[in-house]
Amino acid sequence: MKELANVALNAARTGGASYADIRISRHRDQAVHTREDRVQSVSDAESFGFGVRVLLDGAWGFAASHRVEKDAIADAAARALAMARANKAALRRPVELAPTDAFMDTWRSPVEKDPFAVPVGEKAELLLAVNAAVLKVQGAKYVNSFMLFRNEWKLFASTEGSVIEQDITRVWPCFTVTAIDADKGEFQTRTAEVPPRSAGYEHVEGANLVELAPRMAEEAVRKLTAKSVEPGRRDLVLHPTNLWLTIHESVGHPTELDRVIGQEANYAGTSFLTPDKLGKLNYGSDLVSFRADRTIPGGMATCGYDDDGVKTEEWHLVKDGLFVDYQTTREQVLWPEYRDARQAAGLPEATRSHGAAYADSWGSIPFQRNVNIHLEPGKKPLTPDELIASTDDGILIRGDSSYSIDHQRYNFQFSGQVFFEIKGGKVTQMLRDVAYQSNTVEFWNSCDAICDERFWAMGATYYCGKGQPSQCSPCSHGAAPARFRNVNVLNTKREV
Amino acid sequence: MILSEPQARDLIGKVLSLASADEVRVNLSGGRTLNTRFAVNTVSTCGDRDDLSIAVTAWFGKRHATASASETDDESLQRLVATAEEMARVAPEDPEYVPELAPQEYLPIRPWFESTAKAGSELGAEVARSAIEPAAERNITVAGYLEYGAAFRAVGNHKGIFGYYESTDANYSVTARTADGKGSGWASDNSRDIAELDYAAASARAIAKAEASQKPKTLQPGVYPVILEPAAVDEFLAYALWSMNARQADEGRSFFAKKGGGNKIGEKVVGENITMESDPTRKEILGAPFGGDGLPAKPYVWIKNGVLQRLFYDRYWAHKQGKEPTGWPSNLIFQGGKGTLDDLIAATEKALLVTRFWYIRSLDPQTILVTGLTRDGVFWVEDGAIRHAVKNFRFNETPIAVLSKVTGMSKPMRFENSLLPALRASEFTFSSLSDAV
Repeated sequence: MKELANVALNAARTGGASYADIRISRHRDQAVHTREDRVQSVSDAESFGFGVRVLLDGAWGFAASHRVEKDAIADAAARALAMARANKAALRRPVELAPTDAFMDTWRSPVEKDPFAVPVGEKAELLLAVNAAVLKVQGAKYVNSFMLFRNEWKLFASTEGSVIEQDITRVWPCFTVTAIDADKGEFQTRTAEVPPRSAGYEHVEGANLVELAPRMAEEAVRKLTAKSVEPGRRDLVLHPTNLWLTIHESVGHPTELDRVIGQEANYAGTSFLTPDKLGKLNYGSDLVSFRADRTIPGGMATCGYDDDGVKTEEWHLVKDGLFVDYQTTREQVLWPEYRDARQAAGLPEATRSHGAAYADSWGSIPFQRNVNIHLEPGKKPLTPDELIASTDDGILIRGDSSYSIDHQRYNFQFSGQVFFEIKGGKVTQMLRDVAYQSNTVEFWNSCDAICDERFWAMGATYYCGKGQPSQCSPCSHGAAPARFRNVNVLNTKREV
Repeated sequence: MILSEPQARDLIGKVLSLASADEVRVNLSGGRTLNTRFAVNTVSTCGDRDDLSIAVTAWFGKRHATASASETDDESLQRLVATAEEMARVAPEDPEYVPELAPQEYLPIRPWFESTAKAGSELGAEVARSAIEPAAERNITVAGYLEYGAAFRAVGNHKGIFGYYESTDANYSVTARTADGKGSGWASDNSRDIAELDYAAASARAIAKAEASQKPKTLQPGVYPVILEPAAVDEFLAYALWSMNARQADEGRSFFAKKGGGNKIGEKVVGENITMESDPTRKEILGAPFGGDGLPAKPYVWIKNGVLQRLFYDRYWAHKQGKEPTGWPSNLIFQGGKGTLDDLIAATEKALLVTRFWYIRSLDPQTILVTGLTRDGVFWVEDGAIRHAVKNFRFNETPIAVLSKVTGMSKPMRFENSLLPALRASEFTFSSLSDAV
């Protein structure tokens, strides 16, 4: 493989590139989908190929192919150089890369039990057992369940001397119950709160899916007759299974420096978090600190090195409420907007990337993606029961559902899987038709309590979308249950 | 990688010869796609990707599984077939097993244009320059994306079914923002024939919208009459189209389910002026001649004069319900009016003109209630003309309600794989304001 990589790097150097890298990667996706008493599909997809990226006079070129052979690699390097050469005609801001050390290393995500070694029949039987447990609950009419297993093996080599091999495995088992009231023509769903994780099959076994099934089914049925929420201002107690997605949308994406500068303007949008706010904006209350992190075990964005070949690390985006940094790649660190903003904020000059580059396949060019971003747990001991006991008029929300935020990340609206009314410090009844709508900075400044680290947990996604052509990236977001005061709650019931 | 029809036939035959399963299907796809991105008035990233996928689905009795890979050497193909067969053997029996299709007749559709297939990698920079230079002269920053390429698909099975087609596609979109970040406009164009793409016109529309959308007035959230441009119509209708699955309706879990059981086929579901159909032979939006299982694509009417005519049936559910399988349509034709968007605006007393929506997500699948936001140009129309820009809104609304209140339509325009009119509706619910520009 290293010999093949050198074909690309030598061709790029000969062609005049100031920098080049190649990623040779194999992506394997295995999936089992079932519903009720049947297996809908069993699939195992592999994709093997390479992508060559060259930097020529400040312009990127990138070419990729599924044919991992010397002639195809040389041809791709030539095509990448040709694109870079052509792109110079429209280049007004040459790309410069911040320095990184050269690494010769191998990194593997921790896996106790190889999920690909577990027979698909065993996986299907487990899902069918989940389905059977769901369907024993009266009123639970349908159930869809699945397991996804993803392995990403990649060899990165650059003209700066790095040769990095990584092997990352991610796993996600989950199911959704549908309860029907045929007479009323109504239905409700309940999706289990099992997040994807960078792990092996032990994550499936540890999820206790069969044991979880009856409660999910019962809650789906309860939702049919739950009280429709009274809209208005309420305190919210958000469980980590709900809060992770709010963090992703209202903290993750706004702190992406490429969005801030305008590189995503035509698709994902820009960001309200302009450089003048660095070191000045109170993003949240004093309790609120957000840590970006690509090193935490189990994190979906966790890896040894990013797709720029930068060693991964953790850093603060928001510290004690104050906005202190962005997510960056090698290309972004030297942007004058970032340098000037750090200087104006009295922060030390940044010379190294935080390692936020990712490409979702060999055929995709790396760019800046959300890493794992966590709300730090409260520093004082606080249990969820104590948090609820100190809440007079609120709603407890578990699980994620509808999510939407504007293209500069001000106005958001989220829903959840289940909602419980809190009155006088007690959970009283289930509610339905709930969504909460707020603005990012207002919302995080309304946070007045966060449970301690004993109750901290990560939610995650496989499917963060960004870029053109659109790429999917995985990332995790941890939080402990937290309370937000006086948030706008909507009723989503509508007659048509 | 594009395989010719004989090459595809040979590869499918080779894979079938390696298989021992009771039934086997092979799906091939591949192609070369080029792209160029620009932003902040400079070219940013680009790509030139050559890809191939070989998918094998094997059945032993009612047990089935699919494996796919990108390598074509003999050893890799043997491993691919073995993986599919090994998984199929241990998969539980599928009570909804449907036998593979016998050979089918396909409509003679070839959505292929040499102009697109032969476009070189230098085109991206040319298009970027054509947007950046006029924008920079007006103190506007532009970000845009051009993607074009050629692809093929083929399907074959042990019963002798064989389908093959080549296709090309080209897409361009551009966002223009004023230098102070207080105005934003967007436009796009797409065609299977890249010679038809008018980049310069799209860029000019985006720049004009950015300039016109500055200094927006704040209107309070509430119910307003609207004119939705085709891009907004496309985004707003998506969840409604995804809900048109017959099985979901028959199972009582969609808007198209009938209270007490069954579905709403034959019932009036939207206004009488709404007719939606699909036709893979329509020349402006040529579709695919067959689906992944080899089912032929055909023209269908989905909603006629507001009455639901048909839902999407897969082969199993169609067989069970005694219906014709439709597969998933590859395009959508929304019948509209006669005039242009400007004519519609000129004939409007009051309305909010919406360029496009953003981040639409489902709130309640029972009513197809969705939430989302306006983006890149909202304008107040009064007495037949655009009067001023309006600040962006979030909305909570259902296309079912809006399609029941359509008061005017332009002629349909090509937008991605649809022909869509601009729609004017008497009521649309905006729920909160957004500070985003």
